[in-house]
Amino acid sequence: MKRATAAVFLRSFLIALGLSSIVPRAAAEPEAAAGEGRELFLARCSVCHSIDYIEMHARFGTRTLWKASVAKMRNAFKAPISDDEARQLVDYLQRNYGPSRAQRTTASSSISNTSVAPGLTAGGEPRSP
Amino acid sequence: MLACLGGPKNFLWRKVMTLSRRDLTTRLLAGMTWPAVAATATGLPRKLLAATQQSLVTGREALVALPGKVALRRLTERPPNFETPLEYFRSVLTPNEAFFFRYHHAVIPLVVAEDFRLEIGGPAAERTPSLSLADLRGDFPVTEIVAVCQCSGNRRGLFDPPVAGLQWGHGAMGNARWRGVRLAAVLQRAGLRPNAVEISFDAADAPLLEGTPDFIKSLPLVKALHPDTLLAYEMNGAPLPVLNGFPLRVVVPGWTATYWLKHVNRISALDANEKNFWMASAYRMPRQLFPLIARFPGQETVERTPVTEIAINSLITSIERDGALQASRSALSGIAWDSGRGIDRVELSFDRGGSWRLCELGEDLGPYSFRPWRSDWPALAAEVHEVWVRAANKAGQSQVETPIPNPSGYQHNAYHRVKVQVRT
Repeated sequence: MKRATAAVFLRSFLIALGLSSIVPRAAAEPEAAAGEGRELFLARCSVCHSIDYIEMHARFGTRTLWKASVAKMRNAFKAPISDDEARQLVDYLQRNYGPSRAQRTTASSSISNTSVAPGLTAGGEPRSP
Repeated sequence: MLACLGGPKNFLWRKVMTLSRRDLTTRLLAGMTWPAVAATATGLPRKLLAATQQSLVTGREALVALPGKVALRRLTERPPNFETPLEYFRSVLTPNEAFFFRYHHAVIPLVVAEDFRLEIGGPAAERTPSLSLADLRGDFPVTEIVAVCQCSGNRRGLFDPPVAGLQWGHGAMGNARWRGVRLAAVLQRAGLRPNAVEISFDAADAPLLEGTPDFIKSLPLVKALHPDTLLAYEMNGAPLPVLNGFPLRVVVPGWTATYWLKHVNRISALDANEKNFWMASAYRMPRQLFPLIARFPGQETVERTPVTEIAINSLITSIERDGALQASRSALSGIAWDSGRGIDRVELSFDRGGSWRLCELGEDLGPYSFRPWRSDWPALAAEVHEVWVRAANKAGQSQVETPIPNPSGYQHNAYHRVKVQVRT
């Protein structure tokens, strides 16, 4: 029931926003990594938030971090995730969004306070809107 | 909850976009930046200082424009969390179109101004008035204030070791001229009972799941009744952009943005402390870790305190889009800000903190505003240098050399450092 409600909410939200015209990148909203656990991730996590929440943590995405994150989603935000599903999700996140993967797939793996103009100078040309 | 969504009738985006384009032009012409200063005394005429700084790239960030907004750095798509690129902080006031936004929930209301009602009540209210936007505009004295709205987690992405949460760079903040009415005046319409201890705020945004705690925040009575605390319907002379809280938001000068609820539509006078997730668990940090003056005693525990005031901070903004610092074209400049105590001094170091040079302070738009500063370039040898900036305020608060670690990555106010390569 909760999931059905969520789906209705999500759909209403997208309709209300007129998705195609006001969220230019939404058609290309980043996709979850392929492989075992992806369907579960889409059903339990993507229903509320986009995958970029996950990607931004990949550079320090240890199993400990993913366990804490899934626990927070269940306990604080009441995501309908069973114990067994939680284990599967942590496995999926660790497998696909751990530090080693992050180093392979992002332009930068370190940050310092000398950083300025975020998004403007590294990682290639910024994408235009 | 769904009443705020609806169909095409409620579709405000085109209207908002039209307003925004016109207003952007107005503001760009208003010239709120420093006048260009020729670098005559720098000893480095016409020499380019190329910065070798690293950029903050933590995931799949991109510069993306949503309606009514210029291209901003997208941290997350849904709920939308977008930060302001550093170049926009060269203006003392941050253009509405470039102003950051942060949402906890994905359901963003498209409120029709004519239908909007602000409901006031709660167990410690004498009456339960319901106000339209016209009531708010017509029945109360209009008040304006310039104030920085800054996310508690601004610069979280710069903590080392990293901290979980939105990996903000420097841009989860903005400075605007807010126009609206005093919260105290609106609360007077309801009448507070002697047992009132907190004022809480709920808004028209909503989570996707029924069980997810709605975003409700409270303020201690003393801050809620402070004459600088507003309910604002305009920023920088224009209606609030949808993504910055149209049609009404709470403005809490000096305090972090977690209290500045967007789309606020319900205000309650409470006879007990608000205990929901967003007050009791989120936006908290260890007590006595930071030298904060403003406190929220009713919400403090033995070990933890809510985040309250904005920590004193500063930023170098005279950085070109490609990351270079040009000595030939402009002075070194930037902004400093705090929680309203007043910036006392801004200093630069070119020798990693060995010595400090005082900067000139610029236009003063009030204690809660960004305060611009500038300095000429000193003569520098042709090698790699670091430029550091730090600020101190009239209450004796100052920035720290390295950020103070805390579990949720709040209050990052370490010196801003920029590496520059001086070429001959």
